[in-house]
Amino acid sequence: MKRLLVVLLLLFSLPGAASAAIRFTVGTERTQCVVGEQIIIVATIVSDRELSGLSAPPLPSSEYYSILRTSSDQRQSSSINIINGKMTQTREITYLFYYFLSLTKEGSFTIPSLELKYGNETSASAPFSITVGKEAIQTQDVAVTIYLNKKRLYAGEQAILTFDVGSKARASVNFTNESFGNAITDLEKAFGKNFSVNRLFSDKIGRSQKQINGEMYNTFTLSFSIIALKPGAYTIPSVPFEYVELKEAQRRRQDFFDDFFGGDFFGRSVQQIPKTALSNRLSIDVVDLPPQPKEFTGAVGTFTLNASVNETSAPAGEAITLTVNLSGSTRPGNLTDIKLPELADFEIFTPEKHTSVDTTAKGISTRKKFSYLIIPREEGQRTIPPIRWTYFDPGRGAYNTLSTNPITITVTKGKGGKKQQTRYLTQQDIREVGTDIRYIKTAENLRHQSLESYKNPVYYFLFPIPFIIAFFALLFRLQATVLKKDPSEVLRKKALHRAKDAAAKLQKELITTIPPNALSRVAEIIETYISHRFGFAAIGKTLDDLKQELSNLRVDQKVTDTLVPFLEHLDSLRFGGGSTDKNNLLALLKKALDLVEQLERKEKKA
Amino acid sequence: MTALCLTARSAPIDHWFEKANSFYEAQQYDSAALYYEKIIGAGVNNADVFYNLGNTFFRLNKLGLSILNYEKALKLSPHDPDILANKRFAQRAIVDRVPEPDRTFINTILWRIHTLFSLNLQLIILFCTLLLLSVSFSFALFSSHNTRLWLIYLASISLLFSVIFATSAGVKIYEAEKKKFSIVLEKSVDVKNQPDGNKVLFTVHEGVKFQVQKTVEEWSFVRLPNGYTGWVESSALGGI
Repeated sequence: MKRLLVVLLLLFSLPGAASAAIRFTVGTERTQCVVGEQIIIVATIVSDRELSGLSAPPLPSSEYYSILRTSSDQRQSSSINIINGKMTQTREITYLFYYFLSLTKEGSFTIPSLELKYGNETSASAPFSITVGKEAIQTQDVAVTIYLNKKRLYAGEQAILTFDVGSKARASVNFTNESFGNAITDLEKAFGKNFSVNRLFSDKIGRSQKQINGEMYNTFTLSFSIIALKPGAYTIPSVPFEYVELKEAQRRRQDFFDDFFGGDFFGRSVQQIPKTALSNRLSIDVVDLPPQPKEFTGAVGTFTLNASVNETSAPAGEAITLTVNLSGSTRPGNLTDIKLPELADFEIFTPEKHTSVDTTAKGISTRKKFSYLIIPREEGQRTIPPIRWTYFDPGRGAYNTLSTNPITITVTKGKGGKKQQTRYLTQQDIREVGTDIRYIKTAENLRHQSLESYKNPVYYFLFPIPFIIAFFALLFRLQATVLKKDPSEVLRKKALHRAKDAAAKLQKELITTIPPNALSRVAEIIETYISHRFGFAAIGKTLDDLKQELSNLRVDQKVTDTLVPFLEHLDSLRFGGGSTDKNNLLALLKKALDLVEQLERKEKKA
Repeated sequence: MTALCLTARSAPIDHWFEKANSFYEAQQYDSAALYYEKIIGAGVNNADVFYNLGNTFFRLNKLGLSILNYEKALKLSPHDPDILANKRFAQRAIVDRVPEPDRTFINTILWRIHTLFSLNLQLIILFCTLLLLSVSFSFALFSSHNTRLWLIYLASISLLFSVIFATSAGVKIYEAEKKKFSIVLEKSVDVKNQPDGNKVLFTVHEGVKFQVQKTVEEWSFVRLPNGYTGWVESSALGGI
């Protein structure tokens, strides 16, 4: 029964010549057998009409088998199509002839091409081989194949790569998404940088039944577009495909509940054995393109080009849209832009470009649409000459130049009269035509840019500056406030400074001349200092009173004892008429300043 | 020392840049990308290089890498109109539209101010406002009553701007130091409930920007602007 199901499956999947009135094929379920085994050869005849009196084509006798019996069967199918109200009916009748063979001898034999004659029509089947072994030959359950639809490619040409993973109809194997994912990655890597590989499938993987080496396989098929980038002879290595073989294993039952809930109630378990199947190798010969003409821009494949305008008649100065469509079997990067011929009678704007890519089982195809805004300048008959575009046609092995038909436009009188029009007179809305990314930057002298500019040490120096300024300003302001509150304090603090200033002034004067009041000014320096420093009026006081006052203020006794006699000496000189030459005066001034500084030091110490 | 090194190696880098640009012009995008990456590999961070690399990946139909490089370029040159335009253009092709949370009127104004200047320029402006504040304050301490009033007004305005710029700069520095963002580089990525988890919370596609909050081994805990969070394999992301 199982065998019969496989045979039926085979019958429905066998390919046939679609256009022929009678389709005749001969096949079997498997081609690897052992001596003594029975196999069924099936001859299938499909026709759209009834074939009365059709008999089974004779199968030649052989030492390798004996024909046990034959049988036949007939099936009929019909379908009705209604298109635009028109009804069409198609009918198909399938005649099946079964040959039950018993294999008698070890070796390999061929079922030859069988001939079917019906009326005037003659059809022949394809021959196939069957191998008969002593023992069952274990063929691999999983077959992985890669093949390219072209063995010889031009650089830049597109070819279709098919990746088939098939499992025998009765094989217990499991393919996971990861198995396919890894295989696809390995396959893409195997092609390396000399090929551009693009997937021609979505998430769903195509599934079909295929006959490989005479046996039926449930096959998963993936297609890729391959574009050779460099000439050379390439060998693509085998691509591994990992899968899991499911093997039934008998084992002892241990625990009823474990077995039951583990889905293993009947004491059986399925063992998963990871396995790897390798594909065939692939040889590809990529040849270089012949010497290139000047106009060639690098496109290889088959292409079409056409051009049209939205208006064949327009006033001068009004915009017309010239649309140029370029499409062909290549990826977008290889389909270069077109170049318009010289159009002196028109003002031409940058075109709006639209690129669309179609991915089908036949490969990648790209369509580019260029929409030019063109403005005729003057009235009259204006012609857009043919637009040309050159590509390499691998089918012909030669370069081909596509050309559009010339387009004639009748330009009527524009708003501004017959004279030349400019776009500025048309009052036309400016519209965005660019829908692409902006161009790369081509600056010279690249400099390194820090990602952490805020860590620049300059900031560590700069940022404290405003705070330092504010801090010192505040400090000075506070000091000024304190000094303003107590004027005597200001005098006291500046007493020495003022005394020094007065002494320096007198000293300067003494260099040139002797001032008449020099002695009194020396005495005044001391007395003024004492007044400011100690806060009482020293000027006009008698020396005894001065001594007493200083003593009350606990001024250093030693300094007082030197200071008072010095003032007494000064008085004697002032009023007694002693020597007052320049050197003497300078010595007195120095002594006075020393005394003042001594007083200051002692006071600060105190 | 770094400057010296950069000067010494600037010659081959400029040569690589020219070469990469010429490959780009010749539509040999794979080779152009190789040279741009070589420049970055040599330790040169430059907005132009990242921008050009972003363009190259866009041409190679690698949307995630394209947006990633535009983001890197914007980090170095946040107001470059070309980078902004191309990033916007590339983002049009993203499958997912992650809505940004709505901003109030005040928030919008604050965001505009926050993004008005680059951090570097903002720090220079902050220094100037602080200097103006301290100078006006210092003069106000020593000036007469009428003049002091004007100087206090000036100091107050300087203070206000200093606070705004300092806060904004602080936020930017915090973001630069603490916040990490990534772009999805794979065609689609499942966001899971835990590292190596079984439950898929949601799926995002190439080009989506995530905030990476933490990383545990080979998994990153990510957050979308709309608040969605989950775990993603780190290998599927490209850090900005």
